[in-house]
Amino acid sequence: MLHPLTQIIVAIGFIFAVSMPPLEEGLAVLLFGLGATLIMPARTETRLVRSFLTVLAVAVIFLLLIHGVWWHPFGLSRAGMMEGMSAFVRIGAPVVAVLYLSRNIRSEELFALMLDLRLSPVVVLILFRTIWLIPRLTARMEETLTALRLRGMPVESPADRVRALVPALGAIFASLFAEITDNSLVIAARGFLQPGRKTHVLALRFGVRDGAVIMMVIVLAGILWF
Amino acid sequence: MVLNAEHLSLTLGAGRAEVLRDVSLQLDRGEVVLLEGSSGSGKTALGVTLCGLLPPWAGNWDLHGRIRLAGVTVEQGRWNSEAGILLENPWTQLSGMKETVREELAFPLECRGVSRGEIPEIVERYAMLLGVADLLLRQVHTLSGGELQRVLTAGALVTRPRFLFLDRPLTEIDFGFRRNLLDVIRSQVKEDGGGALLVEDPWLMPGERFSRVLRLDGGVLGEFGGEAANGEALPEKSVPRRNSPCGTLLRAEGLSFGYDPGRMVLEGVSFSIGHGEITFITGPNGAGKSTLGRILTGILRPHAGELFLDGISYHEIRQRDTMSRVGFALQNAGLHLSRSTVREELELAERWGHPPGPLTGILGLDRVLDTHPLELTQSGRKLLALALATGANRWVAVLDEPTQYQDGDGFRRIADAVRFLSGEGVAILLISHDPRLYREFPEAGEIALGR
Repeated sequence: MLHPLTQIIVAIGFIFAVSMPPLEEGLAVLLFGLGATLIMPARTETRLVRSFLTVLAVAVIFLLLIHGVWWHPFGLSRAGMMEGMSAFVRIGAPVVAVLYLSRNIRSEELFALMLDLRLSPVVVLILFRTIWLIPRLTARMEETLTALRLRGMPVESPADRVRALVPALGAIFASLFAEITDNSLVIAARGFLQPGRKTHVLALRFGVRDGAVIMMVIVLAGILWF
Repeated sequence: MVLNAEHLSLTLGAGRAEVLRDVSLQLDRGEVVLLEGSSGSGKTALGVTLCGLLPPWAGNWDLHGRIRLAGVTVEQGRWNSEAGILLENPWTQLSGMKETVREELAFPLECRGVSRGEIPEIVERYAMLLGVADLLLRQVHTLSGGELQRVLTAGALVTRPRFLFLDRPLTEIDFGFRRNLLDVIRSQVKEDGGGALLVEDPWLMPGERFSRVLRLDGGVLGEFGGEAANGEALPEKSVPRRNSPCGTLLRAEGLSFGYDPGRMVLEGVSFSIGHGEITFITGPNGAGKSTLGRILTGILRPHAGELFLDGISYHEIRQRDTMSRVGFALQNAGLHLSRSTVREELELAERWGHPPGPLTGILGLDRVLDTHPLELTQSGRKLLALALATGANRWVAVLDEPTQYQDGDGFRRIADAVRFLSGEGVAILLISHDPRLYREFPEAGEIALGR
């Protein structure tokens, strides 16, 4: 198991490795990184691969359409395509890096790292809430769709799903707000937001493998730089 | 004395609604006091206030009065290490920073700086006490509602606060474990010389005795002497449901299902149910009661075994048609709601082929037609969801904890609705931890899971 800080350094190194070289090489590194991230067995229960791939797919389509297509008169621009792809590579690198981190750092390890770094509890809470929000919102929407299907609403096609969800968004956000309010009370009651010493059961230690991986990242960054 | 609250008056919201009116409350050492009150009567607000958790940075509130907890004046928004709280909805109380039960139970201790060496032992002791020792390595999001409620109760007790406010801790706990859970709370309170204020429906704890029973009504606190919660022991009346005598409508043969490979929730479940029959799905926490409900409606597919609806295999019926015939009122009623008035919700149900018809009157929804569903009390939302999920053209209705939050009137309405549906020939499956329902339908059958 690598130290979470090492994982973060690898992710930063990857962003650097994608952004530094010319477009073609950067794109190749990005695709290699994405493939490697998906092939490596996940250490966490996070099921965000589909969401991340959707973000990447939407990004590439829109960027190519915006930069590479003339509408009046209709035509394609090679230079525009390259510009769109360049923007995609810059957006894709952090997305793949976050996907890598989400599959490799367990919540418990992130929690321990934050405490070791002596970050403010409020910052830690905000970070975890941000991580929590999208999966929770997605799950809540799925639950709502299921409940509406049980009432008889047709939700087979994407258009049906949108029609079903839009009127229910108020209820979904109201319930999420209530959840966050309840959760804040409980977190406050447990004393997490208090300044002062906190402990964590999981002990994080740097090992030889961490050192080797960090050295590799530094060497790779040096090669790319020069 | 552990807690002394004097002349509390609390107003909440932009409309300055008076939630508490001159409430005074004392808890002596070792006391476990039951707090009753109808839905929306201010019980949770009282508990949150006593713990000093009214947030100073949000919410429009105004509090008068004085609270002293373990000899220290409680200031709202300032953490008091002697106060512990368990809120009603278990799903909102996970830290969100931990994945397994073991990690979640360690969290309150980590927050208080308990040394790394001590934490595992404390966690294991409380896991044993609350009957979750075999769940320690489970991911928290895979727990059933009852399992999670036990875990969170352990999480509230694990730091041994002197004052505990527990909001409906038994709602999803199976019958067999309720007394154990209350005993754990009582013995900790006694050992630590602390006190606990417990909000719970008395009918969930037949025969249980408390040092005092308080009632909050319209923001005013009243006391009912020193006795007990009402109710009798749960009758052993249940007819095992194996084969229906009056024409099979729904038949299951050897159903098996598991969320994770190697961990089956249901194994070899078989039963048959006839038109108009009422059947309870029973079993300990985590036995798969709600999962079975989801399989019956076609949301989940069993890994093995087969289901037949009116003699036709589920494999031959489209999922949409299964859902159309088998109604399911989910435990979380809010999920069913999507419109801005009760009237619109009912009209929508009609458009989708399931008009509630007479259920509207039976469930008392005709009195709240122009109310926003989110402005209804929890009990009101349950009534509305029941009507929406079980309207016309259903053959089977699965009701998950239908009487949760219901006082006498709400309970009566739901019992009447069940009788009405049964009379219409709808087969009713009830998932419930409410002993009142078992007494109400002594003729009902039972599908016993996890035994």
